[in-house]
Amino acid sequence: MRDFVNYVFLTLVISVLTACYQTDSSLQGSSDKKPLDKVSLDGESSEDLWAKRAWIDKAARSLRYGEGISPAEDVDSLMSMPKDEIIEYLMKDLRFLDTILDFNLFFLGLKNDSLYRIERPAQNVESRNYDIMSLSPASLSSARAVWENGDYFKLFSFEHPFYNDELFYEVPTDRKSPGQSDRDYRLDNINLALDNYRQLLVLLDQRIEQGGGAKEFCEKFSEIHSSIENNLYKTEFPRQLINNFTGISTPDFDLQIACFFSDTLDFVKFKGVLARQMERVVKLVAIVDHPNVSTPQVVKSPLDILTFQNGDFGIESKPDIFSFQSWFKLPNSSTNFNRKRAAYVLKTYFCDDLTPINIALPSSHAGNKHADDPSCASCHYKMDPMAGFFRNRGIFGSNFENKNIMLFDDQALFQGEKYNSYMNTWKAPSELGREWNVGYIRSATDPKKNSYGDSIADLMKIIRTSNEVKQCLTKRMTEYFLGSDQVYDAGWVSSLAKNFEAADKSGDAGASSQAFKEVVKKLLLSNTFVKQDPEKNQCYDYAPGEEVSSLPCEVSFLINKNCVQCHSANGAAGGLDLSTWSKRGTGELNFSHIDRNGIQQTKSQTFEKLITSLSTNDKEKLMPLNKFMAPTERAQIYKWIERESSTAVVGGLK
Amino acid sequence: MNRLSRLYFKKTVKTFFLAISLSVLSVGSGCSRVTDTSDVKASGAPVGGFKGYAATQKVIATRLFEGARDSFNFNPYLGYEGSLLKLLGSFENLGSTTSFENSTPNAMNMLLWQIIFSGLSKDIAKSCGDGSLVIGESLKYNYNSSFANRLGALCMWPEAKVKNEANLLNLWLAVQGFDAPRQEFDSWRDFFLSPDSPYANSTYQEAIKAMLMTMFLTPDFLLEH
Repeated sequence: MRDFVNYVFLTLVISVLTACYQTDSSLQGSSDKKPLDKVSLDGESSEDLWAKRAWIDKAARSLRYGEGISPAEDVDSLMSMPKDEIIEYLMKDLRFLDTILDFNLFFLGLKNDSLYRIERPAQNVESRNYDIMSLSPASLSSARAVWENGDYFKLFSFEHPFYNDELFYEVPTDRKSPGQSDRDYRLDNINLALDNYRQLLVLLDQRIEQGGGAKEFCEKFSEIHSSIENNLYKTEFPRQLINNFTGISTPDFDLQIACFFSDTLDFVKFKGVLARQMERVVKLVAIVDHPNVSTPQVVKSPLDILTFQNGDFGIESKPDIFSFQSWFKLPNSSTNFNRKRAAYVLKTYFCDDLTPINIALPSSHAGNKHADDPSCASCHYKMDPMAGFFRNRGIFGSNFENKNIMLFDDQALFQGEKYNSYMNTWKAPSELGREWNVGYIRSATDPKKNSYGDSIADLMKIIRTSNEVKQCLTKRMTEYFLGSDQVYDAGWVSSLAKNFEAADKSGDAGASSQAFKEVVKKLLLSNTFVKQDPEKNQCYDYAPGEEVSSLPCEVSFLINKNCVQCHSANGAAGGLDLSTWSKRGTGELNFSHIDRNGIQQTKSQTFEKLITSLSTNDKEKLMPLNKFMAPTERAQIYKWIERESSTAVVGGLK
Repeated sequence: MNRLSRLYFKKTVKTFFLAISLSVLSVGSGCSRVTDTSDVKASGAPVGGFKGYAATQKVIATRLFEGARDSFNFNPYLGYEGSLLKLLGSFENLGSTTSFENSTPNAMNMLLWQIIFSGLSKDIAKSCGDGSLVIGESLKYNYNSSFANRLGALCMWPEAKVKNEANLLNLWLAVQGFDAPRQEFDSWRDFFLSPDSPYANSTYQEAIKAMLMTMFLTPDFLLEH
């Protein structure tokens, strides 16, 4: 019976402790028995000291990849410092580099629960494997740049070195001959692989002399090629390093097409390909004795990841917009025509989730279904030109430029007329003065607003220089450091993004790193960060000098920027005043919206009007009238209206 | 009722009431704690989700252990079924995007947290004075000296000399840090120091286990805020 009572009591107490918290009189009563400033906290304490101490731990967790203040740290020194100095102190910790790298992966949609895994390249030796080449080399280049006061915008760069993130392991003893060193074992296996290459070259010479189809050669090639791979992998060099340096695992598509489709192969040309691959395998020998290659390899931070610059060992690094893993996740099919890749770029770099809002169509267009139908064009006017940047990239991102064929991820092969029709999807009419309708499209009706290009390198330049990307980057930083479920004032986010825009204009390579740190600092000093248990629908931070209006903060800045010029208390066009938001005569929160008879409209009537005005394809009625509004801003207001409409009285929009 | 039946009844009742309190926790964690009276607050919409299993593991590893940043994890308490951890808040790469999934408290994931922290709290309580946490046969994590001392100070419970605010505050700060408002500690302290507390005369294992569980299973510890 006593146990029963105890359990009931415990249940009730736990419920009281963890249910809705309020600083009401019942809790005040208990804390009044021991006022805060009288209770020991390793010394004297007060509510302010408690709050600062909580902030320090939260800031440490934010900046040190989840590790807060440990008991061994000198907290008293931190408590005596102002908050901005504490942030600067924490940013000098090597764990901040992990945070930057983690954020970069978050920005690119590649974040995992753990930034690295622990491996043991030898007994009693622990090392980190960040797996960065398969995720995003640009993330690491950018993170290191912040650490070294370089260019943070390497995040948007095409060019990066080869980061060897698979570890160098000790060769297991049972693989080596007695007394054989790791070095000699590796050299033996490289020599075996080179012997296999010589075999292949002899075979090719026979083919060149005797002629014949490709398929018979393909069988023998396949067998010897497997042997080459096995011998190279037996060296216990990281596989990624072997694959990247030698190209051994990259399928030669001429050979693939010959073996599986045409039975015709240019053996002389292919002999040249193999000979070049063999030369690269020879250069692996030099890596065996490279001074920075240690066995076992120990990586304790992103700084320890072994880096090979373009040109090391005569190797050309192969920069690319995406890693292999990313290409794999963004397949190109014979029906989607790179739109998945385009949607990823728009969402990731421009924060454009392609909210479908009808658009005003241009007077001349390609004349296909997507361009003719406004509801289709609402997404495709942005997506299709963006997809054009990837038109030469087929299966697993392979480059088919100048090959006049396209092999898609769904194994479909386009050649001849089909290939030409595929490429013509992006051909621009001659009167436009450019070859391709490829670019980042801001406006379907005003080409001057758009950024056109041709290649993926052009795309990276557009990303690098666009203010929309800097705004998106800042928005993601806000979500990362303050929480993704929280509403933020767009004006405040925009004011933070100005740090990056200013850095760009300065021309100083280190300015972008300083901008990154400055934005992080402002986020950690913000009211939102400090707020215990924030309301997710409430904004706590505003741009300096920004007047806080009665408008819902999620859209306040955007409405003031785009709409209030014509729809304000002084001259409300159409009777609609968008400058105030309050309870109206109908009892609902709404804008002032007076019809011709002087009657306040209901919320559903007002919002129906707003939806129509924002999404009409009649450019004479599209709001804001004769003024450009960025697609992402229009989408944000639109989505807010849709959400608010769901709370409007029946009879309006649902 | 014979001895076996009594033991069984005791376990059943204990589980039943813990389940009730967890259900209340699940509901309670959705409630707001702000003191102003806005319309939004009155709706009771949740304002934070779990920080996630990975972040929670890291917090515990930093505050309690030495050198366990990359090794401590909750797997042993879920039968090494790692995929269950995903239900406690994790980043998922769904196609070409990343999103944080399973962050909203519900009966299922609260049950998993209860299983984890029940096991962890019990093992920590058992290790009083040992200087390290041992899980199962061989898994061992060394406490940092600060936590070892603070835990050790309570190993003589229920003796009167250990029942004081300072010892409890030290344990609270070691585990909770300053994440929770001061009033939370006050209520927690009052519960355990009250002469009528159900733990007033319990063994140190029971008391320390309860202390730890009532710290781990709180919104301030589990939720992102």
